Amino acid sequence: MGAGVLKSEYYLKFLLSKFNFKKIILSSILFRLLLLDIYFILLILTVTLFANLKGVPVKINLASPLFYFLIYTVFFLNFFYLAGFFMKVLFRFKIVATLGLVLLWMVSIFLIPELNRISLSIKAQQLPTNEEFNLKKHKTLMEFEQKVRDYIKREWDTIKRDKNRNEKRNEIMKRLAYEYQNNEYLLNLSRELVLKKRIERLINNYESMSIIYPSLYYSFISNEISSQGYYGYLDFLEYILKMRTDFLRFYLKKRYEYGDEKLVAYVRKNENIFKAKSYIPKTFWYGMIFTISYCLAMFLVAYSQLKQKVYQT
Amino acid sequence: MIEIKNLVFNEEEGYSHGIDLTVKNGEIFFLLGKNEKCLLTLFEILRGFKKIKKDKIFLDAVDISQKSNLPISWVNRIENISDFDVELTLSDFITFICNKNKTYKQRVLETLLIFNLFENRLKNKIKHVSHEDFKAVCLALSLSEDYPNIIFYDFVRGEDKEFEMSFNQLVKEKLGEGKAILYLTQDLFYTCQIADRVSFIKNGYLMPEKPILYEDLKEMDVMKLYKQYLS
Repeated sequence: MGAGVLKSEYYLKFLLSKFNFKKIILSSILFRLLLLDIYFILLILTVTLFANLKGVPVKINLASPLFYFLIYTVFFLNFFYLAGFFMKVLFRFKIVATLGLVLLWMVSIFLIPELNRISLSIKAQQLPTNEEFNLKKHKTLMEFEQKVRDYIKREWDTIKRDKNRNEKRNEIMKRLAYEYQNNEYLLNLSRELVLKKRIERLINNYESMSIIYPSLYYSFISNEISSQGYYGYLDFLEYILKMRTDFLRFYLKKRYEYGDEKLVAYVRKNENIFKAKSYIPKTFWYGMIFTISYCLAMFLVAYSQLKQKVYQT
Repeated sequence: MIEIKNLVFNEEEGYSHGIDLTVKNGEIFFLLGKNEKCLLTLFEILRGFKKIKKDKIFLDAVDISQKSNLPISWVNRIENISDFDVELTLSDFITFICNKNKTYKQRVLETLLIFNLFENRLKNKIKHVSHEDFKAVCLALSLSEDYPNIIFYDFVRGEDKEFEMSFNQLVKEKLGEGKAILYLTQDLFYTCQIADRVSFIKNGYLMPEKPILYEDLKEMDVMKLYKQYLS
């Protein structure tokens, strides 16, 4: 639409005999952009209103991320509108401007995000693979089991001779279980936390890379808002690690402290369902600044180029 | 009154070693040239779309070379309707260009009457109107401010006789109102119909030394003139 605003150089010159340059640009480019933005915002608000009326309520805690998303989407659309204007001026109103715009769109929507994804995937390959990581954890577990077996073998005669052998056995098992909780389990947990930190760094890096181009950031922000993004993934990792640790504590307590024999479910109702949250990325305003800067830069360059072209100096 | 003094330019499309001419109020002055691009360049320079250093353009003895908002109505040739916003109706187009100024709009509608273009025909979209009708609307819009000076660039070329006659009638009305009109064209035959004075640009010079008056033009052999200045 941005490319279609100024129909042709001839039309612009015709208008210039009636209005001044600034007024034409302001009224044709910016005012139309403003109207389009208002139209888009009203459209989204109407859709949201109807969704509410038809029984799909937008909860209060979702309203804020959706509001930020709406603002970003408006500027993201403005980016393409102004890119159209920019291309039209850059290619001097020729038909090739449309081709250039299609190319820019393809590059922005497909090529750049794909390159960014490939870059992320290459960086992610530096992380240990699941097999390597799990084998390492498994090895620690096996070593612990071996330790337990050796210990029991050593102490077997003593246990057998003891009058309260059941209690003795239970006492040994409890000691070993707590030993496991305080050593091997913590070692494996710390490995998992280190890996989580590395993943976090990778995600932060990816987020920083996404800021620099609007289509990348739009994709990033839409994933985060729809709770399918990396912030949600990190939350999920934290959730399962915490749940597992809590379960281990719960089990050991029930088994060795209270001596409960009755089987009870640890997870109740929907506790095992992880509900990812919508997030406004912490870099939201940086992303906005970058996108607005792109828009401003394209507008100013196109404006000055157009002025230079019309008033050939 | 339009007065051009020592207008020198050397552009890719054409050049001039110095144009000096004066168009008095109530007079139509035809400036002819063989090179179409050179005439267009001159028109663009006068409009201010091409900036050159050594030019002096006076309107009523005031140097307006550096000003951009001039009391001149500029009427360019309309070649392609698709250059415009063809989805608009003629009426919307007029309202947009007149910028809600009722006097301008009234003046446009009065001008359109000369071309038998009545209000009911203005409801059509630009893409559905004839080239002549759209051209008449553009002409009327260009003259809506009623400036005392008008500069045309080859406006009637290629149009049918009816349009040409209506245009001539409009020009005569404007001359009667005391406007100074400068008309840039290649069309010597049309020039012979309504010109008050005529000059030619050849090899960057204005020829003949003194512009040819209408009375003299009538007596002259057009073919000879053409061969002398435009061939």
